[in-house]
Amino acid sequence: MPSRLRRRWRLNRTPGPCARQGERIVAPVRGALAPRRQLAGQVLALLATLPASAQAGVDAHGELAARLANGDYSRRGADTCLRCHDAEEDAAAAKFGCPPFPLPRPVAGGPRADCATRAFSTVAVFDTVHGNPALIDSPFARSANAPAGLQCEACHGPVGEHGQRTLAADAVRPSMINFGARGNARADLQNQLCLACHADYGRASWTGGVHEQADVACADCHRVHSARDPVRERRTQAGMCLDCHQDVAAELLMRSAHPIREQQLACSDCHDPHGANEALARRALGNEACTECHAELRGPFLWEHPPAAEDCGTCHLPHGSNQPSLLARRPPQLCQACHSSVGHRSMAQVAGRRPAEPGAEFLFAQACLNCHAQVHGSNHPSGNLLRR
Amino acid sequence: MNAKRAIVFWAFALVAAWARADYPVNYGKVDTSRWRCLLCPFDSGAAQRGALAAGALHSARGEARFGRDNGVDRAGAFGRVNADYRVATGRGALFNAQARNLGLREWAIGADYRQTGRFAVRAAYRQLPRNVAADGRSPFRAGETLTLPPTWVRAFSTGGMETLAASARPIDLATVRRRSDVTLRYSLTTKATLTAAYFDERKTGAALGHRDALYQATALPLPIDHRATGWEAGWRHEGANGLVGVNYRRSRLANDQTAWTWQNPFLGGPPLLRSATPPSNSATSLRLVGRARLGRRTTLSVNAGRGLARQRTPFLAYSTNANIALPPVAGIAGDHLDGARESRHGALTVTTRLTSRLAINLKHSRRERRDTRAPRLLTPVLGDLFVAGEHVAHGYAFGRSHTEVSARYRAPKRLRLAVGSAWTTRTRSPAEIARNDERRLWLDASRQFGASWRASARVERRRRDAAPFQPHGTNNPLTRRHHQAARNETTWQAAVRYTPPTSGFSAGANATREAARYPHSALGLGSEDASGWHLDVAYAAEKVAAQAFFDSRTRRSTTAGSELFGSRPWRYDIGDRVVTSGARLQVTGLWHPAIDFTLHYARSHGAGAYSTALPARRAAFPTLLSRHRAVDARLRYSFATNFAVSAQLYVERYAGADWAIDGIAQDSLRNVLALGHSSPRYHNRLLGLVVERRL
Repeated sequence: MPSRLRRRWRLNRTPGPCARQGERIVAPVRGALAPRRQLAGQVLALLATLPASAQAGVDAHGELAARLANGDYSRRGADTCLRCHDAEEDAAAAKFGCPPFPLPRPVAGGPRADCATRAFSTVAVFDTVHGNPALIDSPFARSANAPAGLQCEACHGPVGEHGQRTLAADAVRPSMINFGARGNARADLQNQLCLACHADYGRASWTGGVHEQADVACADCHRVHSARDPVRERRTQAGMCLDCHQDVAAELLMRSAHPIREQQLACSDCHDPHGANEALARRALGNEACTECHAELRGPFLWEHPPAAEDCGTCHLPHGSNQPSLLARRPPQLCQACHSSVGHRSMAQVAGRRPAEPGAEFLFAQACLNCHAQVHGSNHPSGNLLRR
Repeated sequence: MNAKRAIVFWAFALVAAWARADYPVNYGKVDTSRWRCLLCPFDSGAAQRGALAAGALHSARGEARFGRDNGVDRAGAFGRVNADYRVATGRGALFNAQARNLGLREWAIGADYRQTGRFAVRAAYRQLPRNVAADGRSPFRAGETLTLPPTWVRAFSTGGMETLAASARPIDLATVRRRSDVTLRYSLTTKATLTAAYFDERKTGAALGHRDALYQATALPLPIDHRATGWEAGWRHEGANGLVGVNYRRSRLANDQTAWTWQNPFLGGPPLLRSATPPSNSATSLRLVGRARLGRRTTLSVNAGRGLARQRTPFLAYSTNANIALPPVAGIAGDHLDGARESRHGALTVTTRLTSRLAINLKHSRRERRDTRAPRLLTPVLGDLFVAGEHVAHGYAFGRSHTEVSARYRAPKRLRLAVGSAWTTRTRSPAEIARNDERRLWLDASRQFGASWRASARVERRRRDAAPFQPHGTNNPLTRRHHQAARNETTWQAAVRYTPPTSGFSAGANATREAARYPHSALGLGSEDASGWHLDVAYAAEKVAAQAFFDSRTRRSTTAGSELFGSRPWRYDIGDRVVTSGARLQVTGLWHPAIDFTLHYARSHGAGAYSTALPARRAAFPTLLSRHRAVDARLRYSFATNFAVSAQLYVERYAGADWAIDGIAQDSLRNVLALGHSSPRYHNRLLGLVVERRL
């Protein structure tokens, strides 16, 4: 029965339904072209879209919001959707997946560098909690109260006329709500649908946070139609974040950097992307985010170095630096931003000094830290100058 | 929060309560009685998925920096296994196990089991190596006390250390962390959840540390061996219109080694020197998170916390010099730090959408930190040679109060405007500059042109006032607090992106410029400027995806200074520039349906220019360099159903230059016995072959 329905469906489909909706991220180019000619055909197709693209910008947001309010849900739920959006369609649209065995030093950064960005599959939702009927809050839960139990339409909105089997030759099939940066609905509408179920503890501070204020949609980062959401995987998370935070991607390649490219650290080890703290820090209590790993620097010390006690970021750039140890500047210039050399023997600031000259110990090797090594604080009774 | 801010805040909260409704969703017409989901590919019974990838890597060279964080730090072959197994019962139970990099020094395993809606438990173990340098040399022998060889000849300068060259041995500055984590989540009801977690991490190895006598310093391979443990427990209740959660956390650092002791290689001080290690400490924190809805489109969220850090490690004696006539801890009331550092944080955020186009956000937060110890009068011994007089050791207190109001407006024609203002007050006690007041104002606009073009711009101005210097007894009147100084800052950002729909093509560019000026700096702070620009282009088709980007970041600063107080004839200029570029090509099934190919290229070129301008001359330091280039090629062939073989070639070239350490041999500096290490410079090649089996 399903296969017969499927055949009939295909016969009645208008040509190129995806392109006519204006809603697909990537328009699959199908046909019997040889691979090289296929590529050329795609480039030509791209060029062909350029002049028309200005007119293609139909903002579907209002229509989608109205359809939500209208509540015209389908009669058969997901069966309506899966007649067309099936595994065969997935096969054409989701060729790319994550390599199974990344190198120990993957190259991070750049636009859409993450391999999973394009890994879209309709039926892959059944590999996730969203497609699990055993879960009481799942969209596919049976006998659940809305929005759970509304299957595809729990997230993509009421099907309305989108689910019509036949369309007139010149008709345009109305879009469903599509998610992500290239979705057809505004971020707040997209997020409302997600937060209908996920307004939980982890998202307690989402509203009013930096990402929410910047109109970031949940689906900009999360892949719901994927068995493994790359942003929730330590191995692939940074690639997703760095898509937008490209300045950080550059910093991670600098001389000293936290081991994020090496996948030892994930962005979420320090940041809470759903939070509202300053810099989206996971821990709001001062340097707590840093001392979670660097507990030996937590103190309190008998002799404190006030800038270190106040904020690690006074001297360190957390993502990457051209200086050793993530320092914002090279000592002694870093230290001399606060400490004048007046009254001190230091001639460190004189460029061109040679190692054999007097005063070179203030400039070379660890510079000021040759002697004042306990810059994070000292617990020695004679450590008032942070030397012990 | 002062009265003015409080009035604004609560007036806003009242207005927000009348805000209009969100996008209404109508569930009234839904009839799911005929929804069978016959086409849904639900798992029936236990569904297993997994992958096993086993193979080998070959590294052409052994290089500490190349293997800084990944464990591939020696030449030769490495076996390597990745495994992933997942089974779902179809009744909400899910077991997942992963292993990564088995065979390398950096590896991890983990497993989790969850009965969704009831509980979840996860356990994981990771080993994290970190290489700092492997080309340094030191005459010190490891042990409880870092000792010199019996033939060592003490001297006043490194040039007189006759046996230095003969006794120095290569040292490996590296650490490794071994971390275990266990987390548990248990749902008491559909709304109430309990969470618990425990971690244990041990860090061992050797770190570079310089320690001094009086005017002589020594680089030491300091042994590291400490253990951090912690646990936390939380409870949360999530309802339809709000939630509340509390979390208690406790962690502890145990460092059994209370001192680093080393033999003094120099003449002019006692033969044995000692400094303090990081003391064992403990920290607790209690966090409260809450959110409630006021009206239909207004959200109020609260985030508050209180933390306490404490350490009670006994103090060392003032000096190892027996000739100093001081009792072991003279002047100290107790034998350890009697007090704790308390931190508090509170934030209140109200967000409302007054209309479907206008949203307003109001936030107030307060963060403070204070030390509860009583000031101690101490008599430190300088360089283990001289009593330096009495000094007061006291704790510091910091406070930060921040209020922010912003509005976002979605104008017609897909124009989005945002405007905001913030007031921040920082207080410190005791401090040279006790208070900063900062005001911030920003304007943000973005516009979508048609379906393809999007442009945005942002301008932000910050003005910070600083209180005048105030002495508090032991602070240095010549100290200038860079981060506390008065300043005017301006930031401009602009971005444009072209993304024609359905094309798979995207291109964008953005530029940023930040400028900071210090108009009232008494001690020479001049300007800081940062700028950057970025280009990227991406195209994705059915079988080919390609991306490329170029990014440039520059930071410059100017500071005036002198050797004498009152005049500022010198000028220091600092310029850091990093240019990063990268490209990626991904081909899937283009040449053959079973062959995938990926090619990555990345380049980062960092340069730091430091110079000093004197009245008579201008001199520049040698440029700091950090050049990184990497090519990563991978070919994957699926030779049978569920079987694939992957070949990898990864080439990385790195060149660094640092005037502070390059060319500085162990005896180059008269008063510093250096390590003699240099900036890394290498070219390495990794070859890998992996066979993958999918379940």
